[in-house]
Amino acid sequence: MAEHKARLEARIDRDLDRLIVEAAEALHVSKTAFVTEALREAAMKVVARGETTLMAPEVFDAMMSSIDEPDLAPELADLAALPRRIS
Amino acid sequence: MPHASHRLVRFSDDYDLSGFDCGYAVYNSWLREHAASSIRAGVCAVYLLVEHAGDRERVVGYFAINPTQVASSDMPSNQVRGWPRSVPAWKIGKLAVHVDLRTDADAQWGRHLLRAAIETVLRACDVGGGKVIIVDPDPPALARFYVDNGFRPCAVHGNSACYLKVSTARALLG
Repeated sequence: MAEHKARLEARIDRDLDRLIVEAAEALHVSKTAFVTEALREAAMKVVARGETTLMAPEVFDAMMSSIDEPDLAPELADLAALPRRIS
Repeated sequence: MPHASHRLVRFSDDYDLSGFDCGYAVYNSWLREHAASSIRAGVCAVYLLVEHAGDRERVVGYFAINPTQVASSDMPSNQVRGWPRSVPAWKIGKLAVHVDLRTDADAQWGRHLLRAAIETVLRACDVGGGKVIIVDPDPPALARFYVDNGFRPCAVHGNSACYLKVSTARALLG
């Protein structure tokens, strides 16, 4: 099945257009590919900065009350005891 | 087959990623198509598990780490990003092992790679801080794997994220 594509149009000044074309040519990619990748990277930065993992209030409070004290974690101890296979 | 050795390396375009198959198309395509741009954007760091056997070398696993933060789900949205009601954290994402390695269940390659990921985060904490390690399993059924290895559920409805305190990880793996 063909992937559905969205269309993006933007009015930009001619200097920026020339700069984009020059940069795309330098990388041997199309203007569309260059702009798409640049936008992807910029969007990812914004999304990553705003990322927050939420935790249930009672779990968060319990965790914060002992944040610097190790929990008993026998499962993690088992993981730590595995013989080394990765150098 | 000659004896194989495995090492963890930072992502590089020099490695051939085309043969990587963990059984999940979204993980395969992310590594091939988006890992490099995510690194360039400064969003995450990606590590590859590379297998050497004779003169053959191939990528058989990977994971990504990125800084994040953890907050209580009952906080007003305008406080979610503010200290002290949130805590700095690192997220382990996209941990995946090649299907070839998963055929030998006794080898526990997923667990070996998870330990390497936790140790990598601990080194990141040494220079960048961080109190909690987060995983956000996708698909959610993978949460069992993390709980079985010491993580605890974040217990938010509709979210399978799990956490491990850095202090706990450091006590056992630091």
